[in-house]
Amino acid sequence: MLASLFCQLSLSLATPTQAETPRETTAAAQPGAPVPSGPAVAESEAPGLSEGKSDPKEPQATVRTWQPLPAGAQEASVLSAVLPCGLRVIIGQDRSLPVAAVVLGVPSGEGDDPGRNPGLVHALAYALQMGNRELSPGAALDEVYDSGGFAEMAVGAGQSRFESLIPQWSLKGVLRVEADRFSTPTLSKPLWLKSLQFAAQDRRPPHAPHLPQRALAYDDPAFLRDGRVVLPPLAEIPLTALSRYLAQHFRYDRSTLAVVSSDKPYHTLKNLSAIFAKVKKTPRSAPAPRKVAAVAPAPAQSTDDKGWWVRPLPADPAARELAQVLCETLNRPHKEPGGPTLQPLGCIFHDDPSHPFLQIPRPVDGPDLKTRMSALSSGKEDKALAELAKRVQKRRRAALSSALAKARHLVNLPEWPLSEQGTRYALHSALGAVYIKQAGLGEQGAAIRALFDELSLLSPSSYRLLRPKPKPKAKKN
Amino acid sequence: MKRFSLSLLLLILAGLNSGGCRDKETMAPIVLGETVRNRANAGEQDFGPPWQESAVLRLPNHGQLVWLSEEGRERMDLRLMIPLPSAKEGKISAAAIEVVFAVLEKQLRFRGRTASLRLTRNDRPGRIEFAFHGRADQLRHALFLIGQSFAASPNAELLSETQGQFVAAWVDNPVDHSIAAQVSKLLGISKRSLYGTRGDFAKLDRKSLQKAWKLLTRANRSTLVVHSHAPNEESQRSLEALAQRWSDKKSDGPQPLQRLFQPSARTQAANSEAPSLRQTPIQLAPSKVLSPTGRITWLASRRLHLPDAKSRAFARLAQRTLQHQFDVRLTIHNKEAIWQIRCDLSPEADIASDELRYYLGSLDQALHERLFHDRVHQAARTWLGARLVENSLKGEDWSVLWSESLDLSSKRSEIPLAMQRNGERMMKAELKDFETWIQANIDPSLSRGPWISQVIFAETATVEALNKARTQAPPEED
Repeated sequence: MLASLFCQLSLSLATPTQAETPRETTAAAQPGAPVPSGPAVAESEAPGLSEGKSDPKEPQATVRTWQPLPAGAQEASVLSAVLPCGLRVIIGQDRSLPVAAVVLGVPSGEGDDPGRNPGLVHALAYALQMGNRELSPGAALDEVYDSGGFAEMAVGAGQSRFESLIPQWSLKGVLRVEADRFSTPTLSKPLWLKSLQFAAQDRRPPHAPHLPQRALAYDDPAFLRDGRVVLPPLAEIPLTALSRYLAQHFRYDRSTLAVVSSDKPYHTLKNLSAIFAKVKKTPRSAPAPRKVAAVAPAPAQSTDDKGWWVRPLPADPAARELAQVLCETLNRPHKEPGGPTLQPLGCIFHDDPSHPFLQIPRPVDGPDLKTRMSALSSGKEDKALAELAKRVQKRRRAALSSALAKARHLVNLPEWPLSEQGTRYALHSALGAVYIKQAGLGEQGAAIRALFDELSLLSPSSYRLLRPKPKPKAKKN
Repeated sequence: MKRFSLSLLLLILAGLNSGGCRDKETMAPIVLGETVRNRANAGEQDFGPPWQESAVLRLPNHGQLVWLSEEGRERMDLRLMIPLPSAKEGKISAAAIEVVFAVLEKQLRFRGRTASLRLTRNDRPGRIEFAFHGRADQLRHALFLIGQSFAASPNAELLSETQGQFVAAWVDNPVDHSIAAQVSKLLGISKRSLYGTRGDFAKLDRKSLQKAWKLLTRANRSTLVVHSHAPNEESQRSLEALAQRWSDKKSDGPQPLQRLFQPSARTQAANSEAPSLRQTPIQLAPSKVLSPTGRITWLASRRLHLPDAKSRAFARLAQRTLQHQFDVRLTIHNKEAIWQIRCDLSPEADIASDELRYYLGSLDQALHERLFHDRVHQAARTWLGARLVENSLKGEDWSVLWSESLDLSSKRSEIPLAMQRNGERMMKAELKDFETWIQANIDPSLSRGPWISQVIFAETATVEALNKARTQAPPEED
């Protein structure tokens, strides 16, 4: 469904010039009111999110629709809005089954742990399940489980997510829970200790990247600390400090809520706005897009054969898609005409939504990164590159086949507004999985190479070399 | 190797049929242009997928195809449903069936993996299903792999190698054996076609394996269910290629889809003269092995006749409301179902009889206590919600829901709306009707059977003590 939406959008965004100047409109998107057609994103104040006459006292939401709008906002397949409480909501539709996926993404993760207290954000995410002024302990999970639903919590490098998949008829109940999730949390010593107990039982998934690689890629020693540990000092943190930290990080005005349901997005947005109306009004204070740090010069060629090349990536779906293409290209054997066969490089793409990075082991025998990149830059592999890009796109689109997968995808779309980021790159970022197709480059490997260059993925100097620490010699008795 | 579950054991008789041979003649083109528009779910709530369009047609190889179209679907799910052999199709043992399906599964899994296709196998009542899951453009490949495996002649070497693996690894399970015996008696079918022992696997000869292979791989008995975007020219060509490769000259017997429905049962339905569960004597089930837990197992089953959506909804509701307290299992297939109660008891005769009295007393109490609307409604909500959510998490595969709908239908025309009807009936169950149904069908003291009650791993003295205890009131609590 999303794919078709993106394709629809592509029709209206055929040229970069159009995309750079998205038309904004202030027309009210009242039910039944015609919404002016625009090339891309129509942004509007929407006092009429509820039926009938609008109440001037009623909270108002800024609505953006992401498709051509001749049929009106109420027909849009995906809607984005910023609610009066500062929460960004992105609402999609999946009519495959009468289910709804709700994902609340908070831009705080393991990387935000204070230096002295690794594991704090992870434990606080559990503390939020312990109830608050509005919810009894475990009530958020009960709401989901009682309707046969599925609930999950994910804490990554720079993001925490609260996810639910429920039957459609339970959507309102779960949205009410989300509207209460950050209400003044009930913090007490016993509940905090219980949260720590739960957090201590959590295990890092086996495929998670090693900490030193990510720390080096992002040049951030904060990642060297394990964000899943529960150390005794966590239990000693004063409750006032915990409250302060919760209020600082777990806030609606920094967060994004993605909802994918079988209902029309316009109806969902209407219900959602009414439910979140009770949350205190706050201007949006989204964190600034993270910039990939300037890269240090490539280290001198070393005779040391061990180690990894690492490379951070912008946290947007387009860059992640391109990195996938590059990684799969590097993982294929390559034969130079008349030359030796270059062995696969064993590239690993750590697809973290907030801190993605590439990791390429330095082979003992075989081509170095530079040799392989220059082979790619020469353009001799363009045809294969285009073919592979097509396959990667198909796979990524097919992976978005369920409501929860779509909601996870939507919650990770970069912050708008397009009007401020009218470049081709920003536009493509929003489109995510159809990046290459949108640019009209699907058949041309050369154009994909150009996009690699744009991200300097082909430049070996943009990679950092991590050498493992030498093992300490065993003491002789 | 322990693949047999109650679902498999609930082997339902398939229709009349006999073996066929293959030919390679040119097939007529397949036209998938016309689709049937099903009635949309019209209730206040939706309990099933909105499959508004489906094409049901007979392929040139006499197999059946059900195409569930979903606009913009980027994935495909291809489900092959193979009914288990009926008594009239020849005596084919459960061991032979298991070996043949294990070989097919091995081949499909190995070949599918090279094409990044995921294979799942589901053992459903009266049928086995293989399903390939992948991208929409992989349908051609999935159909090719099915043709490749099912059109092949039986590979004697592979069959015998797999048979050897079963003989080496098979662990006889007295509980499964007992379930097979009960189901066989309740449904009036041969026990040997329900459960294979290690000895049965060892006794299989080449001829019986080849006979089973030829029957189970017939296109004329198989139904394909596809969930993907609307069929196009390429899918049409792929289906033609499949029909050509996996051909079946004979179109004898009922249509493949009809074979998936349970024929009218041969056994007597519940009657007012039959004893209740408490009146039914407990028998000792033979077991050559000791209990792995040291406890004995009491197992009671009965067949339920569920002629309509309302009774199917009641049966499931009863199972869901009791399940939080008792080990109660239910398998529904069309108009029939098997209701089963299990309980582990102490091996000591005195303690076991007290435990059984207490268990039956609690069951009585749970069934006689006043049912509250909220509790029943909650049980329905959880069950219906979990059914949809689980399917969504597994990739929103409509073919598996279609298969579930088939079990909830009495006839072919009911399939598209069966899930919706089931949901509506469960949510709107009238408490008075529900209580009446419980008393008539599953109440240990009031409902008339036929029930079958057995105890496994016990000694004769324990069985005698249990038989005395079953009619007594529960012991006084200290």
